[in-house]
Amino acid sequence: MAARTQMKWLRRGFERNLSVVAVLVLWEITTRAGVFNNFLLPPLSKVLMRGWLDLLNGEIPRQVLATGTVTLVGFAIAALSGVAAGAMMSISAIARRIMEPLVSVALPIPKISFLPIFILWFGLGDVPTIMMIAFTCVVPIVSATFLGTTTVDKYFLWSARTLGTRRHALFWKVVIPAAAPQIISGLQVAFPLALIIAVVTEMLTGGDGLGGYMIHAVRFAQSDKVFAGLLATLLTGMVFIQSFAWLRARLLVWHAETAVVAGA
Amino acid sequence: MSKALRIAIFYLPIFVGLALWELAARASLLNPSLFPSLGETLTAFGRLATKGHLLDHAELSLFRQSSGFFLAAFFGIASGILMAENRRARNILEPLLRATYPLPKSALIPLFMLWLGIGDSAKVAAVFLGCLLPIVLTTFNAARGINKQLVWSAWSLGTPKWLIPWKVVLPAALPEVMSGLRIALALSFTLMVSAEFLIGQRGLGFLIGTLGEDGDYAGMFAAVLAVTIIGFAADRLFVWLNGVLLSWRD
Repeated sequence: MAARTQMKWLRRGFERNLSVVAVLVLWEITTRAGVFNNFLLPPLSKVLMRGWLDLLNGEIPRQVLATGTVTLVGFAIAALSGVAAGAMMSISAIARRIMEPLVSVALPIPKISFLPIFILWFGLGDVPTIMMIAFTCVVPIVSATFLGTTTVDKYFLWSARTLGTRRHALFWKVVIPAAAPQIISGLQVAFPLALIIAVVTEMLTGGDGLGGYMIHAVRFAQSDKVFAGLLATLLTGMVFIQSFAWLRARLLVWHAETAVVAGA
Repeated sequence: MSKALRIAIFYLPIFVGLALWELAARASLLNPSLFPSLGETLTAFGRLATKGHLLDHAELSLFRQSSGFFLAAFFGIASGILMAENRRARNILEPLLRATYPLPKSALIPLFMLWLGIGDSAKVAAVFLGCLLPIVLTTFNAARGINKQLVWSAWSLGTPKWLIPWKVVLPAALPEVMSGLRIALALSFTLMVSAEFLIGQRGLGFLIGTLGEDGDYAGMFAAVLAVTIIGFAADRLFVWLNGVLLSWRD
């Protein structure tokens, strides 16, 4: 019985991803048949082989670790300071007066253009990358936290007040939990930016990380390595984004949105 | 209070920040080799604008960014609506979308360097593909979520079936589509600058990089300022356009 449900599960997974499988198969067949220049598009099997070799010799794990580390450190700095700053804005009128125009200007501008300035200030290595990630991610996090904490349902506040919650406890016990879904959404919007910036910065500084791996491969005309790097980057992104969704469901286990998903 | 005055008061903290930057530089609180003053930056901006081909670089960058962005908007909205309306298209495209979505968009730049070399097309392609996925996804979600009664009413009132996506679905989904486009617009500038940092001989990203390498830091700050102004202006323009396009809604 268990084997049968497993088969069914596998078959459904296959059917749901049929077009992905078809693209991968077409990729292999057409490249083997010589439809595309094999330098520009190496066969999938060759890319997987290269990825497998670099996985075994430790190069890809090292690059994934490097990119993952700078991404998480930069993102953590942005998350902590962004939530704090957004909360400050909703508590203090002065903080709001100062930061609102800054956020509204900083939100749409292409922050990546500051990268050479960060390299000038912090030198090469991980520091400018981490600072660049933090700088890029902090803005949407501040904005989401501010919006989330200022639009909390008034009934929550009134109820807590009547039940005798003190003023500063009100903020931690009512406002922050009530705003949590929006704050977490802000974090989820910011996270892909962290990866985008990490990869670009690594390409530009040409050091460690998946970006460095791919740009070296281009410079040395190793096209199979470029594709192997792309696959590794895609998988890294998938793992991060899935973990984020999982973490959201855990953190908001008490919230209606999770109950709905679980019930569906 | 007039509107201009209100805007000036809102942005006052930014002008204060700029004034502090200038004062700190004059009081020698900033290391001049790492941090040119605001005055030097503005002088360099004037010099680049009049003699340094700043406008040529900006024009080229904007051409790349807007080509990629508009292509992505066109194909993205079309395929998003197609996916929402047509089951077969959805079954084919949705798994592909889900499988490629987690890729950080900037990772595509080396691929286009490999395929298209260092010309304009590599940068346009990077902007195009990077913006495409978020636009398809927001359009798909928006078009899927519209009130079905609108479609039924239009249909029973005699709107031809092939006109419904254009006449009913798109207008109903427009607010969400526009907010997806706004996110893609910001992304398009990020990808343009990133691609220009890495490949080619012209464009604002290239200008920033090359001025930095020459040690002309006031010039580098000025070029960053130019990108910042363009990105901000494009967003304001988009918000204005959004208001115009959605003015028929209440």
